[in-house]
Amino acid sequence: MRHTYLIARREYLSYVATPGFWISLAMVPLFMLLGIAVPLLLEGSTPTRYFSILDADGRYDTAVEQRLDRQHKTQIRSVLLALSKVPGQSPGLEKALTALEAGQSVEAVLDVLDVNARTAVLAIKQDYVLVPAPGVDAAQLRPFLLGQLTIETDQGPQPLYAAATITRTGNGAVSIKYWSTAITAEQLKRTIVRAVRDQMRIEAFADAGVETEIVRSINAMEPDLVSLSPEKSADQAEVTQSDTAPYFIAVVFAFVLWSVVFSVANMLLTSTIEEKSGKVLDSLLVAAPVRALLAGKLLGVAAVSFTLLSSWALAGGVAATLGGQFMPAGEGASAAILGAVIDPWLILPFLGYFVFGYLMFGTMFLALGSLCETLQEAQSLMSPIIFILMVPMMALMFVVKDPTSPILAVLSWIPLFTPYLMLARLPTDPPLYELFGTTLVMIITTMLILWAAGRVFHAGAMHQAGVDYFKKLLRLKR
Amino acid sequence: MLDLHHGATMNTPVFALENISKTFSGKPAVRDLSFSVNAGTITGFLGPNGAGKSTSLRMGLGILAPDSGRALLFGGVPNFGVLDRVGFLPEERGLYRKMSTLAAIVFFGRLKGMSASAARRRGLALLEQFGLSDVAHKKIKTLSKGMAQKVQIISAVVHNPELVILDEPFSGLDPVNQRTLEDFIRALADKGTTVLFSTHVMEHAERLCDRIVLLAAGRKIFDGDVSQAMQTLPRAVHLQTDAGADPCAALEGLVKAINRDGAAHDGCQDWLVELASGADAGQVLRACVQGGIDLSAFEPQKRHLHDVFMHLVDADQRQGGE
Repeated sequence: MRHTYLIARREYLSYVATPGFWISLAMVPLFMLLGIAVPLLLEGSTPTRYFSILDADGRYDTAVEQRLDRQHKTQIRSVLLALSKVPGQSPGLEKALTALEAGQSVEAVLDVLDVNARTAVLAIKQDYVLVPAPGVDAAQLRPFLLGQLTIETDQGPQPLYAAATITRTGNGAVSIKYWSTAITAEQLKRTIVRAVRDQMRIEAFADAGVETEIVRSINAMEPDLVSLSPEKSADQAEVTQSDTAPYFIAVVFAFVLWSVVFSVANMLLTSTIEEKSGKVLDSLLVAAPVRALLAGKLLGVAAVSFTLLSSWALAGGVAATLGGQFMPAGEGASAAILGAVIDPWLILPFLGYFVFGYLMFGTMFLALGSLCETLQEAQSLMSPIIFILMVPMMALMFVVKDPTSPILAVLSWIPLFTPYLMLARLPTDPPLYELFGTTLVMIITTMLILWAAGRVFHAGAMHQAGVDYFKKLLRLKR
Repeated sequence: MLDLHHGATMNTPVFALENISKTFSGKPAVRDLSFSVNAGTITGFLGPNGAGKSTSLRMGLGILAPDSGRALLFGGVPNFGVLDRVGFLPEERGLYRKMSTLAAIVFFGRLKGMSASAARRRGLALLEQFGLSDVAHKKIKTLSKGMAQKVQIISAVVHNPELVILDEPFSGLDPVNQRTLEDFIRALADKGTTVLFSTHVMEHAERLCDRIVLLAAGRKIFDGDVSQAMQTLPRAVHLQTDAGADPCAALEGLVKAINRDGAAHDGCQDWLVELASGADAGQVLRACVQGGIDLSAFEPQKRHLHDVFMHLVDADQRQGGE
């Protein structure tokens, strides 16, 4: 035990003392932060775009403007709803929501709000603003579109982002010519097309004698979908975020498990190669039994990965708590995610699968490392293992789409894939025989791998086996 | 007076190989080898490259299983209980390059059962003894090859072992450091530590060893003390006579062989006289004087272990290694 502890301790400290460890430690929370911050920053940094419509009939530009106005009001409504969930908010919010429902102007809504709510609403910019065309045809608009000339706006001189020429042809068809240097941007193009299409339909219905208001109300019709689960009691059968969160979190856990196992197994490989090429193994062999070397290295690197995982879990917990506190709209989602993350029925299997996944791949990489003097040598042997490791990674994509797929059930019985696939499938409540059966096969396989890898490690460490020996063993080399 | 560990006497074998053999891929590396090392002695394990020295030492330490025969450490089967009483410097050596010198020594000391503080104290003392105090906190990768090798030797003995086994300890060291290591080995032996070291440089063995075991092609070809080894080599005398003189008749019965040592020069002829068993240099001198041979030089040849080594290895090879 003393040997194992000392080797594990040295292994752990050698990683914790490296910049790479701290980079890995910071990487996941950093990516989490970036994942949240970048879309927000992009949204916040996107300027209001000005565009014009040349509409010979003067019918469609109004339709486009009304559609943009509705989109703006929808954004305002969601902010007002989020604010209304924060305790102690002023009754002005209710009035503002009522005003919005009644189709009143944004100014009318702002009038009934207190200072804080007004600030929040004013912060919602309109992405696109329709302005009078600074020319009568495309030729005159071109310098504005190219930024050679600017138009006057509330925000000072601005270039024209886009211009659309809408013309009606003989048989009631409408042609839109859309001009813009942002040729891949679709949002405004789509908004214009939909506004014009709705207007065309209203006019067609009007021509057929149907009243415009009726058409509008028909267009606004949407079925109210309620998703229910037969596994819940009848009065509380509605599927909530708390019900769906475990499915996504389990897949996320499986991805985390895969990436941690892969990276720590690589740590074992490189450290063993370093010891072998640096001739340290020979000194260690007389100071500690081979099994202690094997166990010590596995435990040391496992401790590194547990440090990483617990740090990430802590960072995730803090982020979820803070998210719930500072983003009231996300409170429900945060609570659902946090509830799924700290669910012991997911955490305990995660830890168990981590142990076996780590032992299987860790010992394999360790044994390979003992056969190699250089990383180049190791790469030739690692290719088949990496290929095997990629299979559960790809299968996890299917779990997201269809967690009850029979293919996944079959793949789960392959012990090298079991930790990742069964973990991701846990929220689907797989049958007990499958749960225990796959676990048993996985445990037996782990024992076999430990035994075989121990023998290979011993032979490799003793310089009795090298890459050629292993290739011969696999019949890769004749 | 030797202060042997655990009351062992110089007749107590602390390391023994009994008829061990080892074959790798059908090629015999060690063949029916037996020898023992008594407590408190310095034993040289000599042999040309590839003779099977490292394999034998590994089997003796239990880190490699023999195909047949057995190894004994302190009278028992080698295991990590008794290995804590052994310090081993392997032929293939290296240390964790990113560790500090002292941390590496303390790590190996602790693996051998020392407390961290004791390993640190002893490590610092040994570093001072080897003139390495100023690199105690430097990383191994910043040390010269010679320095790193000394650190490795310190790591092997930091736990004050009863038996120290050094596999080619002098290779890679400059002459000054070789002398420092020789002094260190002598100091270990003076304190009662048993030392077994392998080498193919005979000068070290000649200066240090109480006993030598000579290995060639996996087989033991000599086992005894240095003076016994010397006796395996025929004694010789170098003579210089007038160019026209022939001492052969005068020395008949005293010599095993007599040969001209190069061509005559400056009116003189050199001769190499290999003495017959029982004859000595004095008899040769008297016979020359009595035979009227004018001698301009008479020099009994000083024998070195190197010559013994070459002689025994050649003789073994002539016999086909059987």
